[in-house]
Amino acid sequence: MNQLIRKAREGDPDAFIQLMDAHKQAMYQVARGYFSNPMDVEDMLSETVLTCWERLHTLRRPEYFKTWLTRILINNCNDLIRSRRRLVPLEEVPEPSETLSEDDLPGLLDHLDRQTRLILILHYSQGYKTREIAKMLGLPHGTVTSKLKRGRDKLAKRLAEEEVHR
Amino acid sequence: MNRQEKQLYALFRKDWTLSAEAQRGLERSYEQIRQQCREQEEPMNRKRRKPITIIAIAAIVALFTISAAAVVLHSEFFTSAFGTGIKSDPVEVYTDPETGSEMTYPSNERVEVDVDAAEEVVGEKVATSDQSLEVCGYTITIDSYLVDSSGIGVLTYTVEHPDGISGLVGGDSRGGEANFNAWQSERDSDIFEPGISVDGEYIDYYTYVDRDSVTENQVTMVAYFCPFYLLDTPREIEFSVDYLTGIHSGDDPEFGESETLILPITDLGETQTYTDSETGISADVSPMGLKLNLAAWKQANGLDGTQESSVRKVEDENGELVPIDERIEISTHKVVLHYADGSEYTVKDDDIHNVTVEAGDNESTYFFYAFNRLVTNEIISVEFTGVYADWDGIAQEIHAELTP
Repeated sequence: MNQLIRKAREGDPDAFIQLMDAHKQAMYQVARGYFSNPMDVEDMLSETVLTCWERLHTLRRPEYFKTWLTRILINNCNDLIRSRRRLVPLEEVPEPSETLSEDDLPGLLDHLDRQTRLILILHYSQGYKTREIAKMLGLPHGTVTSKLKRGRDKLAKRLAEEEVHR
Repeated sequence: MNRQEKQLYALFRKDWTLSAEAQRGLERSYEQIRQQCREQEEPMNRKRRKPITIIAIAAIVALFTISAAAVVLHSEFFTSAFGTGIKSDPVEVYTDPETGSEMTYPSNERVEVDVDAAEEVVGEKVATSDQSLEVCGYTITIDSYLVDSSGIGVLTYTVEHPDGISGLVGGDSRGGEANFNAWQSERDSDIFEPGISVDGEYIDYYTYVDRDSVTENQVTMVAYFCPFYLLDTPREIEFSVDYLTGIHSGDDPEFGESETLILPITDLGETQTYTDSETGISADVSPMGLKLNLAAWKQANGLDGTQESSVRKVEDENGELVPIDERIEISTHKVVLHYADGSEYTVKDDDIHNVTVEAGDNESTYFFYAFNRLVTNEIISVEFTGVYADWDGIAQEIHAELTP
């Protein structure tokens, strides 16, 4: 991976695209944690790839690439939310899927608030520790741990209900 | 790892099918990047969009001075960095409008600095500089900086712009952080973003606005920083500035060339070590920050990976056994300095966050805190409370009273 990052920093577009493809699942999960509208997810992925290409020279330590990329994506998502708040004073209301299924994790997560969704994704899907998540999201560490616990409990309850109804 | 935890790991580690729109967004950007590269290769269009970092190392010896403390020489620095010009905030409870769940933002309290005491304690360690650089109309001039032997530091610099600096100091963020977000700036101007590293190492830093210094065209910024890992003796600060042009012009914004100043560190702030003999936990405390060291405690509890026999293993999502120390998670809940006169400084607890930067390594061995005040009192002990949670969900409280 470090070799790919080095080549991408030197301006090799093929290496860069390979690098992005290797991280597209992770990027998609985070963007989907923020937005349920597919067009928003599309825009955030597109913008993050371009920002990353433009700013890759500022990354000093390749081992932090994934965290760095995730922070760019989070900043882009926050910017979009902020710009909408300025235009339309409405919170994005998630649209939970009608049916609950283990196979539709994004749908299950839509039942949680945006911050909790994101914390669960960063922790369970991407393996970040709560302290790293606190730093990425600009939240107190205690908030992240309590949201993680509450989110985990809510999700587990949903899954248990689903098992009963099956 | 209990059943619920295993189920969640299994659930989250499944591949998510990318939507057609998401894939399309990626392809669109890939094509744009390929197109840019093709254009750059054409002989008639050799303009590079990829920015080049130019390190502008000034004549450091001529510009850099360290002054001996006979009188209060660094009053402005102490007042900006450790005074009340940076915003304080009370504790706040935020209710999520979607779910009704509550979130507590701890308070941060700034206090007046005693500049005479400050000069006496750390005055001769403060470095002053007048190195400056100009980016997109802003003139950024380094004022002073102070770094302790753990690598915890504070740096003040002045930002001037003939058309005003309201875009940088606008907004009302908690704790008074500066606003370097280009797209939040209402003013039709270009924008810059500062970056700090120490000896080329990635560190954590936050920049705050000294509100008492704000005029129409000028502001003093205060950047605090902490390392994530142990640093050898810190030698230099690299202060770099990236900038972006054309944000409000309707064209695609473009990154300019980064500018960097190298600030040598010739005299480090001293630290004093406090230790708890029962747990082995220690802290190196300087007037500006604290480094907590849990290495001995981890070793005594078989959590540092060196005592294979005592390291428990848990099943991961693939059913393979992995040592639990790879996933160690320690939360620090409370750090309090007790002074000789009976008073105390709560650095952090659940409702108080009197730090400017808090950082730590991924192994939960070292934690660094940059204080939001300068400690000139005599410290008789450091109180620490943390929680180690294992993956069976069993939490163990860690408590230590550290003394010199």
